[in-house]
Amino acid sequence: MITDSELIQSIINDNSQKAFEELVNRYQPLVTKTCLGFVSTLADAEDIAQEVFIEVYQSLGNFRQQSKLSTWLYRVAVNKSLNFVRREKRHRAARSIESFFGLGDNGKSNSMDVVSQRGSNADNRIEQQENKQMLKTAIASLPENQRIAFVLSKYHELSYKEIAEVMDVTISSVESLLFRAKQNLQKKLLHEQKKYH
Amino acid sequence: MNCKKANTIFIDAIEKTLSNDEQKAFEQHMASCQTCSKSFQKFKEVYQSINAEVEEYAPNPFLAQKIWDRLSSKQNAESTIIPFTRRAVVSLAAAGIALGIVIGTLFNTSSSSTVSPNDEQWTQLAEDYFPSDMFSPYEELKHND
Repeated sequence: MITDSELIQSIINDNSQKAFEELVNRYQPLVTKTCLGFVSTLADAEDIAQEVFIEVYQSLGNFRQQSKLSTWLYRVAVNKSLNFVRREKRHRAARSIESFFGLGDNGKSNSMDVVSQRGSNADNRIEQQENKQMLKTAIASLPENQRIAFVLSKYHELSYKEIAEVMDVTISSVESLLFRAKQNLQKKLLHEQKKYH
Repeated sequence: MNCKKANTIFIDAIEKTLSNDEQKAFEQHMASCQTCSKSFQKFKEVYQSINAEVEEYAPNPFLAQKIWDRLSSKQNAESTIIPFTRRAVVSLAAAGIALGIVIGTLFNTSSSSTVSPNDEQWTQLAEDYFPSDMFSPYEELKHND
């Protein structure tokens, strides 16, 4: 199997499409699953994954191969995902202002989406979606550092040491972040459960 | 274990990170309290939806090609935009230099053509204080001769 280093050299020196596609296929699960921890849908996660690999392609020349490629990819994926979430938040705020003043038709299209979804899916599928949405909302409400540590731990089962390398913090910081993330998540999920049931 | 304590360790119970004693006490409480047991079951379903999401994930076989196409079209777009940008930068620089020369010349001409306001003021002051018809320092000197 061609090593990461050989793939990188081949992309930098020969602009090899084959090497780039091999790199994307090799690391697609790592990148997309990381993004999936921060956003609601797979489509959004794949959009961010595309941005991640475009940035990787453009910055391969600057990549110092002292650190692992996977560590760098986790970092780029986390940053791109957080930027996406921040942008979405701003758009949502703008849309809610528009709908408050009677501009736009977001409310209408959302309700139609819900109706079509309910019509086409089985009850248990809807319940699974609701559970997932509840969890995503709770994860999204965590402070950024707790969220990053939690996503890396739950979506990739990374060790404390690996999370510390990606986040550039100490192992004890990771322990503390994960402890607080789980406490906060537990409170929020129980609160949400009581609200809906 | 009471309900309050049990409700704070749901995640640890799911991830099996409780000590043996705690796990035993938790299970005993769940067996005896229907409210907590129901709440725990629902919590477990929600929390474990992460696992389902991760397990259901399948890589997109077209993603690599899609990204490569985007990169290629981006490179093509840049190669057509760069000459235009360079031309624009050169034109703007030339226009800026020409404008600088025009403004500089105008400023220089206008400043050299005007009489210094200070000279005028001093002449006026000298005339006010030493009117030529009343007093002439040269006349005084003549009389002294």
